[in-house]
This record gives sequence, C-alpha cells and structure tokens, in this order.
Amino acid sequence: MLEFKNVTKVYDGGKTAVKKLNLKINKGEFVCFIGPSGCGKTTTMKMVNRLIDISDGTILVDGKDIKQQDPVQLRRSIGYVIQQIGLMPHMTIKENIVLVGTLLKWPEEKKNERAKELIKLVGLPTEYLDKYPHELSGGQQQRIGVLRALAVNPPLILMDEPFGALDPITRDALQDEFKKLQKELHKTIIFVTHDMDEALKLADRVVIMRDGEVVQADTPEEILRNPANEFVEEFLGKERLIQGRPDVTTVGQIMEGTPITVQENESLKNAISIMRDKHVDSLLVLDQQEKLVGFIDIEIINLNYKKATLVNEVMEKEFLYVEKDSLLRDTVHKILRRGVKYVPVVDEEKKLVGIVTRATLANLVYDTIWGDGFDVEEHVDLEIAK
Amino acid sequence: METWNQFITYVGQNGDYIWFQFYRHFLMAAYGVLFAAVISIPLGILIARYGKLSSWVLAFGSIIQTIPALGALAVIMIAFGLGTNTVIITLMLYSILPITQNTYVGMKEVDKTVVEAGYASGMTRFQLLRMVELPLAISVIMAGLRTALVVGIGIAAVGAFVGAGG
Repeated sequence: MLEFKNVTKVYDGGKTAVKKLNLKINKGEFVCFIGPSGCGKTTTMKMVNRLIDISDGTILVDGKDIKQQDPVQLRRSIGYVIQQIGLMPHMTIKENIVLVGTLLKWPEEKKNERAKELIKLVGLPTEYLDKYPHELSGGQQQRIGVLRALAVNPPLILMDEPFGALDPITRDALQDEFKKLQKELHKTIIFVTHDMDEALKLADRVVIMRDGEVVQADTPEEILRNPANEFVEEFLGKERLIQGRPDVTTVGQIMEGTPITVQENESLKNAISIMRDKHVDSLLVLDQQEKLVGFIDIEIINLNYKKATLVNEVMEKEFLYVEKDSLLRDTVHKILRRGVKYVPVVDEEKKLVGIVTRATLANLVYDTIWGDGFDVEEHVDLEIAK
Repeated sequence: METWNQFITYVGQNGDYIWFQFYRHFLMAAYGVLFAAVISIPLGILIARYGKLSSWVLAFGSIIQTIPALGALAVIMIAFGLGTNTVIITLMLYSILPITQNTYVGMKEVDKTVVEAGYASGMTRFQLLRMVELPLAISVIMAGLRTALVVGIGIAAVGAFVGAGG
C-alpha cells in the first residue's frame, strides 16, 4: 500500500530531518509515528502527499512513485486531518465535508447524499450540515475534520496529531470512535502523535522515531514487551512497562502445560491413585475428545466413594475456566477475586491446553518487579563469582 | 436669513450645473480607485505570497503618499496635459497604498491552518485563492477600497486646478 524506500529529507538550511527511512505499510494498517519533537515524524508524513518535497529516495503509494504523479491529484486521493482542524470558516459544515468532492466537480446531489451519509457515521444530527464551524464545539469540529478526510473515500489517510488540541475527555471519546470507525472502513492510516497512550491504544503498529531515524517499528505489545533500546524504554516510561505486561500478555503466554487430568469414565479408585502419584489434591476431568468437562477433588471423592464408582458421576461440572487468548489482566482478577487455586486454560473448542495457578502468578509478579528472570539469575551468578 | 435665501436661489438657478459637477467629481474619484484596485489587489496578493517584495512595495506606496497632491498634479499635468485624465492618474497613485496594504494584511491574516487544510485537500493555487483566501480577506480589502475612495474624493477637489472641474 505505502512504501518508503531510502527516503531522506534535507531542509534548505542543511538540517537533515529524515535519514534513509525504509518502511512498508500494509493495506488497512493503522500506523502511529511517534517521537520527541523534531524527530522527523511530521516531515515523514507530509512527504507522502507532497506537502514537503522528498530530497532523496522514493515513496510508493499503491506501487506508484508519488514523484511521478500530479501533486494536486495525489492530495485529492489522500485524506488529511490536522491538529488545528482547519475547517473553512466561511463554508457550511456540508460544504466543508464535501470540499474534496467540490474540487473533483461532483454533482450537487451526490455531494448532499455523501454529506448526510458521513455525518451519521459520527452520530451528529443532519441539521448540523447547514451550520457554520464556529457554532460547533471543538470535538464536533474535529469529527467534521475527520469526515472531510473521508469524503471521497480515499484508501489512505494522513493524520497530524488530530486529537492533540482537544480536552482529555473529548480526546478519549474521539479515539474510541475513530478506532471503531477504522475497523469498519479498513482505511490505511498514518497517524502522527506525541502521546504514547494514544499510540498504544490506536495503532496496529507503532513507529518510534528519533533524529530522523526509525528506532523501533512494531506492534504495541511487542514494543512494550521488548523495547529496542534505552531510548524506547525511557520514552515509554517505567510505569507503562510494568503496567504493560499484564495488559498485553495473554493467558496462553504464561500458562503451564500438562495439567494433571483424568478421563471421565475412569473409576474413582484410579483417580485417587493419580492424585497420590502426582501429589495433587484435584484433577481436571476430560471427555474422549480431550474436552474439559469438569474437575474432581479429594473432598468430592471422600464424600462419594461409597456411592459412586466413576468419575463422571460425581465430578463438579460448574467451574471457572479461561480461553487461552484472553488477557492476563482479566484472569488475574478472576483468580484473586474468587479465591480459586488455579484456572484451567482451554482453546476455542474447549480442549484443555494448560493451567494458570497462583504459583504462575507469583512468577509473573516477580518478573515484573525484578525484570526478566534470566537477568536476575545472571546477577546472582555475578554475586557468587565475586 | 439672507444668505440662506441666496443659497436657495443659487441652487435653484444652477441645480443642473451643481449636479453635473457633483457627478463628475465622484466619477473621477471612483475611476481612480477602480484603476488602482485593478493594479493593487493583484499586487497585494503577490506580495502576500512572496514576502520579500512586501517591504519594498509598501515603502514605495508610502513615498507616493507623502507627495503633496498639488505638486503631484502639476508634475503629472506635464505628461498628460490638462483635464480629467491627469486627476484620475493622480488619484490612482494615491489609492495604491491603502488598497495594496489592506489586501496584503487581509491575505496575511487568513488562518494558516485553513490554507494548509485547503492545500492538502488538493486545491490548486488558484482554487485556494478563489475559494479560501479571497472570501476570507474580502472584508479587509473592502475597507482598503473605502479608505482609498475617501482620500480620492478629497484630492479630486484639487483637480479643478488642472481643468478637470468637479
């Protein structure tokens, strides 16, 4: 969809804003450029629709070199949203929304229809179409700003800190709305911001830049888990890194495999001998398809061993379990709040794949506070060596 | 009371003449401003876009403005002879500064972010001018024209000296 090849920008004064940038952005991807001011993120974005000329290298949009295209046509085919909103104060909301349509000489009917269709997307009443921008609040104005970028349905949209000038509550609302909108519309979005929370919240991929170079370009989860260097760590902030783990880790990543199980048609006698062999006080019960159907513990056996002989007659069928893709954060809550000792982990077909125990959580908390387990071991080794 | 009566008698006898001169006076001022506008508005747009020229052009306009009207008329009369043409050309010179300056200020005061948004939406330079900059600058430009017309009406009175009447 969009490809940067060795893109370099040197300003007239000799200052290099962007150095040999290479990046490939897929269709439908939401990419956030982030970095300290002066890192070249805005320059990079503005080169895409040729508001700033490229000094060296090429940018390909849909495989076509943008330098070979007419800049005016190019800009009409790329949506653009800026921080200061920039609605035309002398035009009505409708005229503002379909501005690019006007430039493309759309017939009046088509413009009216499109404006009505779009304003519904952001949940504003159609009466607003005849108002002027100054009659709207800041948040409403920026919604219109976003609609203007969507008006002619461009596949690519550039956004320059679009929510930066809004108050925190409005910003939050707009971020949620926009993320939802993007999922429906599948646009490719280049989003420049200096707000890390915003980037982590919205982006499929975060591109961290410094001094005109890409420091790290990866998914928010990956960046939180494996910051490329100290700069990224510092930029993320310690607090976010600690929060980051439970936030982004799924149960599947920390669960322990091979829980102790028993088949549902086994006898209680066998169940109790498994418990004794493995030194556990409860067993997960599986059916023939390896699906989790319940659990059985020492108390249940103790109460029922005279009345029943098979596991499935007495096993407890009401139990707590989690899917392996669910977020750890939620699982931790469940374990701590309900006071259970462990939670079985299942896949989509309810087949047992692992288990999360309180001991697992202890390891995790330890890692979060003391860094990676591996690091700690190294430190210990050093201590001994001394 | 006698003066009042005399005035009424005079107006009664020479009404057509007064009307003719009034019309002529106004027309001279209007033409001067009109021709000046044809030059000055594009000039103002030009210097607003290419900032380096602006100080030169505005300084030149100010210099013209400082020349006493009577002197200017006398000099221009040497080139264009007696009659209304001389007055119209003089008025034009005097109107250049207020119109150019107001156009320049008006264009400069258009919100840069609106211009950027228009430009990034794919407007050509001319569309940007016609659809964004001029509509937003028009009130300031009109104020310039009004100032020029007021100055022009004043100076046109001096035009009688070079046989322009009015």
